[in-house]
Amino acid sequence: MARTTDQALAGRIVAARDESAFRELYRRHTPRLYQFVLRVLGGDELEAEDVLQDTWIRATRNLAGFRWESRFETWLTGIGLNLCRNRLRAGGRWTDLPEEILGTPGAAQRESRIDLERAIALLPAGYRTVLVLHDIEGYRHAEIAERLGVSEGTSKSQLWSARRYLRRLLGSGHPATGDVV
Amino acid sequence: MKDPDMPIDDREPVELTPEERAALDALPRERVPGRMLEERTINALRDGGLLGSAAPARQSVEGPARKGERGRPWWTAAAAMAAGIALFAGGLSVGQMLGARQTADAFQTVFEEGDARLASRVQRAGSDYVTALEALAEAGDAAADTGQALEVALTALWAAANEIVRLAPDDPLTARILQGFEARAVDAGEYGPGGQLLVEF
Repeated sequence: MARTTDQALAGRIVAARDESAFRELYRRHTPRLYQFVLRVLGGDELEAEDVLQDTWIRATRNLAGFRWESRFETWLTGIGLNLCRNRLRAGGRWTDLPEEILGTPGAAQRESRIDLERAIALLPAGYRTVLVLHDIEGYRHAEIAERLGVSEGTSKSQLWSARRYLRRLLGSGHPATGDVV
Repeated sequence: MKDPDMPIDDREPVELTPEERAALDALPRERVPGRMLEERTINALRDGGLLGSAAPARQSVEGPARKGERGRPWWTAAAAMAAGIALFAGGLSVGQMLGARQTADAFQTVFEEGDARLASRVQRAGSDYVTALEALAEAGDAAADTGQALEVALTALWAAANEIVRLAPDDPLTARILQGFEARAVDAGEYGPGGQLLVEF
């Protein structure tokens, strides 16, 4: 039996405020959205759940205006990303480290080796977001730049810094980078 | 070594090694949030008028309850879900703590979390318990439900104690409550093969 499309479910929500349609749409997209939001926020489950709830509320409120020119999942992720950024900025966490900091091992870096997921969570929020979008979610720099309201160059440089920092956290140097051990 | 004076946009990209690429590809892309989140979201959408109220939908799907045809009441599920948040939200349960005897690990997890975050978790769980217990009170109109109500209330209490012990691991009252549950579970043979306390919802 063919799966009801996202657009059909959304239509029922808009036209009839249909709860069962919402539940189906929610269950279809929430696991991926939650993992994304959780990662961008650095692993705070409570905060991620709050963002997830706000994302669905905002999406439902604006569902009638969604033109279906992009995938629903992409649109939803964009809303979630904006909410994450707002939270990180409001909390003063949307910061990039100066270059010189990258060369100073912190407490976490003194550990011999840490889990990749934890290392990503330890990245500065700006670097982490670009790394998650590019290296995990598969976005291109042009798309990241558009979503974050920055230049492509900024996206590239943040990815550059994020990868370097991640390697330091993981304690795994790479010959190509020379200075990273 | 890269030239530090070179404009950052012109630097060579830090390419991922095949091993790094594989490690990133292996990260999970999906994760299921706490079970109460869906209900909270739907309640918020109902409150905002973005979804219809639940009552008419329930009647249209299930029809009115008939006398003598009593399944598990809806509030049982609501209360169990409220209790469940404690078990599934944090990845730490006293069942594991008592059953697997990993107390040191469990306490370490507690101490790694900030007090504010824990307080927030407890506050949220508390709100869910209050909601569930209100539902319980409203449903207390049938003597036949008393046993089930007790079961649900105990489950909620057990889960609440789970949350409190995360905030205050040394609280003597919470410890006594949990010891009582442990003794009750042992008497009833409710420990699973792995030594974990089994709780059925």
